[in-house]
Amino acid sequence: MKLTSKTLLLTLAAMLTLSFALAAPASAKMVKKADNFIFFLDQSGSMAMKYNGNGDRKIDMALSTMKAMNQAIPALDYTAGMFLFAPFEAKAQPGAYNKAAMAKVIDGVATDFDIFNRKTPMGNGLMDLDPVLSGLSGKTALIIFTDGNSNIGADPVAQAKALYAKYGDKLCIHIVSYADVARGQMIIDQIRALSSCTVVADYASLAAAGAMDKYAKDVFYEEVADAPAPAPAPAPVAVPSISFNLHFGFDKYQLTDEMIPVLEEAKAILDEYPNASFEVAGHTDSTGAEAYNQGLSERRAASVHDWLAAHGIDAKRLESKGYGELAPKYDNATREGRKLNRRVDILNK
Amino acid sequence: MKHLLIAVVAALALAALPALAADPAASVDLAAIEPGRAPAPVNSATIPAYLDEDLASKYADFSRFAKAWIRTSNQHHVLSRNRMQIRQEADGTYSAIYHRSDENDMVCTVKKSTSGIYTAILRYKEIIYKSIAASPQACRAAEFLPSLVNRRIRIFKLKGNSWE
Repeated sequence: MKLTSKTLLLTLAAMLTLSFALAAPASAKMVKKADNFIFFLDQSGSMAMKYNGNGDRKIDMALSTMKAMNQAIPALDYTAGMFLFAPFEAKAQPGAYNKAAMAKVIDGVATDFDIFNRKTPMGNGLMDLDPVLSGLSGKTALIIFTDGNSNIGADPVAQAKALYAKYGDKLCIHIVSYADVARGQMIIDQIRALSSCTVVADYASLAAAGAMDKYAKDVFYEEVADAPAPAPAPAPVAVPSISFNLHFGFDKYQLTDEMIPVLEEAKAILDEYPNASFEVAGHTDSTGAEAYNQGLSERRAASVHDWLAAHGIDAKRLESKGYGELAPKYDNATREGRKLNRRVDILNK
Repeated sequence: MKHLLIAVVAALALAALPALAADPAASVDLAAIEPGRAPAPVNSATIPAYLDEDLASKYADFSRFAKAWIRTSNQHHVLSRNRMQIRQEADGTYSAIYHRSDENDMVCTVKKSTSGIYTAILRYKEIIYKSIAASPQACRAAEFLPSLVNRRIRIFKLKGNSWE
């Protein structure tokens, strides 16, 4: 076939048209979730020890995680800094985030320190960081790399609580755990429990394929469609649902002294959401007659409702309802499922 | 003389330690060089939570229990992966959903109430996963993505050696 210049031109035009038709899909824009972030590394003696007594030293694992995290953070206009504690030390004062500069700071952290006589005043470290946090504007993500093994000085949980009381939702504390003893992990979890904004992670979970990228999206940024859209209304505070089994006696609905500690915990959680209203929902398993289960669940829900109202929860915020066996969350065909179905739920209305 | 006094006080304190271990409520009064600066009596009832090894042991036990509880919860959920709900949408496609919680994304706390009963709180996320495809079979085989994350709190108490 002879290719004329006309054919060639037509072919070229077709190719160009096709390339425009197959244009890249609408791009997503990266938007910061925090205006600032601080890397806060535990450099205590316990971090110089090997993880679980064998393998790598915890400080080396932490720095490796930090390097990978730095790589995953997009080059948005964060204000970023890096500090150490136990003892407290500034490695990079808060300034415009630069990935390469931060990588250099991480590489410059000395790790050849002694284990002995190097205790972990984690609470003091948080106190020392407060002036840094107070100089930042906007939202701050504080990422702590620690084994949690605080053993001297101020109570770290109380200090974290004080920081949240001071900064409110302008601060979120995330902890990457290198804990290899129960007490360390307990302290880490107690700090995490102070706010629902925290993202849970440890060395192993972040080493999984794709995990660090997901962590970066959970903590540092989100992707939003590029097309202009009106500013969305702020999302309501996500109120968690609460569940427990009070282990009422057979055919019983009255509360006993043994149940009070659980109810006190539930009330403390409701106190964190003073503007929310709740439904106290009673559930049974499918053993017995449906009508009987319905009545029993109503009486049990009412007992919990009345206790909460008598102990400081405004009755106008509470409603009690029995669901009997009619709204099972678990499979009533199994013993475990029936056990799980026997419970009280407190749900945000 | 001052150093001798310090040594005597330290020896007395060390001698009192077995009594402290035997009786958790027992306090140790430490004589002070300057009586006005005597430290407050210390006993296992006043130890701060973050230094409490007994509490840490209960925490470790609860954490193991909590992981198993989440696995059980996943297995017996009415909308577990094995019991996913598939329905036809208005546009003729099919959607499938199931519920699952991640045992590695949980926060556990334990505390001792004033009555001596240990309570524990498990904070976790129950995620609804969803897939969309042209047929029910294709739905089952399709990629499931998280469509909703529900924050859950479950409260337990320790009775004997079991969390309930």
